[in-house]
Amino acid sequence: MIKTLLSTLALSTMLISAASAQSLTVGVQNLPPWLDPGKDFGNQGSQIYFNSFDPLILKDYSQAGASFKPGLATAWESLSPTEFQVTLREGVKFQNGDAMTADDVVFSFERILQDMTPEFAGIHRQFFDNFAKVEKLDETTVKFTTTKPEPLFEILLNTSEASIVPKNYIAGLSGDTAAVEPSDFDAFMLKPVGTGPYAISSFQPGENLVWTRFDGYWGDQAPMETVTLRRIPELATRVTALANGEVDLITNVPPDQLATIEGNSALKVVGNVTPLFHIIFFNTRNPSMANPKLRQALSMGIDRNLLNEALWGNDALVPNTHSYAQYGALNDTTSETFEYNPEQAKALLAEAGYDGSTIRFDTDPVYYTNGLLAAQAIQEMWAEIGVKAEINVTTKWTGPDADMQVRNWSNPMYFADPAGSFGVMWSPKGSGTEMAWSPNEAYPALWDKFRYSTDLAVRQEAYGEIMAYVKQEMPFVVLYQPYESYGMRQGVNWAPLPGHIPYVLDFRAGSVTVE
Amino acid sequence: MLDQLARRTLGAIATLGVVIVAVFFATRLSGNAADYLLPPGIDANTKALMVTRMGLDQPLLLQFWHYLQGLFSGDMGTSLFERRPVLDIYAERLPNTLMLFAYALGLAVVLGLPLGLAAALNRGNALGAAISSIAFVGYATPNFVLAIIIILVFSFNLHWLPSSGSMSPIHFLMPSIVLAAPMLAEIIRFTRNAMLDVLGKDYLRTARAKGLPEHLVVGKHALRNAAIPVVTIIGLQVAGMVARVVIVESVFATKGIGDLVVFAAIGRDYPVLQLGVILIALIVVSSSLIVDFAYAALDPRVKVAAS
Repeated sequence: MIKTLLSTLALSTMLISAASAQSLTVGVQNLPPWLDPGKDFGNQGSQIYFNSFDPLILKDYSQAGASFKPGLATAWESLSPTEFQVTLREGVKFQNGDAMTADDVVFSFERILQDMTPEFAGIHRQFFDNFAKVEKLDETTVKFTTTKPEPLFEILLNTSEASIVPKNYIAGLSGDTAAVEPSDFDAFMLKPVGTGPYAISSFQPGENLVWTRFDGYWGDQAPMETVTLRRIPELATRVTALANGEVDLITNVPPDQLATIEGNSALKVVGNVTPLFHIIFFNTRNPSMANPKLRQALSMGIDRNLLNEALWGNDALVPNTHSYAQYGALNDTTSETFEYNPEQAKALLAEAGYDGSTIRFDTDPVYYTNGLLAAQAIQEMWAEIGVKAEINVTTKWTGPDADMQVRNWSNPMYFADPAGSFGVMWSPKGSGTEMAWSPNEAYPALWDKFRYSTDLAVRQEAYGEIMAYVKQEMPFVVLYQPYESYGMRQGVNWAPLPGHIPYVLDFRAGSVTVE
Repeated sequence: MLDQLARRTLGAIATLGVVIVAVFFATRLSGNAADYLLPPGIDANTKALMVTRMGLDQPLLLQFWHYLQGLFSGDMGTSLFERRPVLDIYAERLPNTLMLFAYALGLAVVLGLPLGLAAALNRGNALGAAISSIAFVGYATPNFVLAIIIILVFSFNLHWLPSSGSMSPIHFLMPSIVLAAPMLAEIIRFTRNAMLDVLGKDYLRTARAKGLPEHLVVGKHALRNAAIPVVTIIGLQVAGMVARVVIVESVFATKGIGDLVVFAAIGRDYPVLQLGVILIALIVVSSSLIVDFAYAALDPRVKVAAS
């Protein structure tokens, strides 16, 4: 009996050793319920797309700043401020064997610009609002026309939302196999195909995903034969799976678990500061929060450096304003929009006539790493300046609720320009603005000056003006850029690259090796 | 007797009917799926388009009518998130959950009955006390605590067992143990108490007096009578197991329906949630029906009363 038991255990130990030089198994906290780069700007999907899809324009992801290089396009030029001509790479194949054509490129954008499903309408509005037309000039040339001058042409064509997908394959997935119908996109979400170095050979929504090297890839061959993503939602289980050799790499390791992994000599931790802000925002339309002086006081009452020290071991990054290093020349290093000044906060509260009434702070119990702890710490900090806050822990998204007062949120960098983070959230049509902020009449013109000017100096100056206006209005407070940690066994050489948007698991050539 | 069982069966069917109606309205009262289908903070226009696309803007009674029509034609709808038939999703996952249930139930019964019997027969000595203590600890330990403890011991420290997944039978061992633990404790406790109750009865004295060997006294007369409350507790524990499987599947990353139903509840994926609740109700209702039938088989008085 004991002998049988032991041999079973030995067998199981053999079964669970994941490592070999050509394969990698990753334990992820979450996996999306569907996949389509053109529809998705969520945190779960952004882990996936880069390995399987290419945009027309790629860049050097090993550095934070923008340095674009050819992707599925070999060349691009601006014919006028609103017209752009792109030359397509020849000989590119999709993972299903189809050759990539100019029709596929036009289709990949048309599905978004023509709002073929609600999700495409969302991406259209948030990313490609300025794009008017995409047309095929000949088999290898495509022309883009925008409504206003488009300074972000390269940046937008580099996003995963601008990935190229196979038209004929999608049309053939359901119903009339020659026509593109909404149900084709539903089917594509479960069997996605792109031109990238890894084909998605198996995808069980929310459970696991297997990447297989695509031998027909136009660029450098993928370093791994297979990469398997397994969803392991429970943190203790994920860490154990790594320690037990069931997986080679795990995502979403919070700061309080780093010591456990670092204490194991077979394992290591690698991480980076993610281009994503944890923020809190105010419902300026709620009468109780309408006075900008109150909001300024609440901002000045938060000691963000102390939050960083206590919750992140000083690994997070506390910015002065809503700006990322990834913006390159547009990174605003001079504005000081958010600062800690409890004395001035108290004076502002008196000026605002704050009557001591309780302010409700909404937070999800788990969605943001350290989100609840930060809320509790801020509650104490506000108590120091004489503001009474209560924490309302709820899984409900209370952002647009009329009675919302304060809640936490994140502002990720969707693409490397202020328009791709601040703009998506806080431009005149941004989702944060729509939910909770009513800026003045001059604001749209100021925004347009920043957004559509092709003169870098004008854009820099306008962004400074916008940040000054934000400082005065204080619709939100940026807390910090979190530090995102990954645990892995010693033989895995991988790290998140600074040129990517948050959470990308880049396993392309040059990004990973396994011993 | 048949009459009584027929009534029970009808009652079970009526219960399912109530669940089928209630689950439709209860899921829709608790929140709007459109809030969860898109990332937090999506613009109102996109959300409105999504509501239309998913048919969530139709009058509630019309949606209910479509739901009933689908139900009776075997179409349980399409997941709002995964955009594929709900039946396909459950077909992938239900076998894993049922396998967990079967392992856990088997483990609890096969270990629980003899241990309970041993505890009763050894009342007052060290063995009896030891078994009772184990049962008490098993009953009092929350399942998520037990789950983390055995993961840390058997996977993290000893490296004997895989921590998570549902790739092979060995992956089901730890989740089955956690799922079985409270049920095992209950079965031990009830078997022990029922046996002690029965062992003091006059008819056992009579059985002994007429010279029956002790193993027949215990095995035939006592155990059969003691089995009745034990069967009840097994039936009740199946309902408890359904509740526990949610946590167990999440901790051990088992690809089952518990984890799926929780995700569907958080995201308000109505069609997935509906079928999940109906399946769970089906499991609970049918287990209590099986208990009713088992009573009839075990207790001759039930038969006499009916005839």
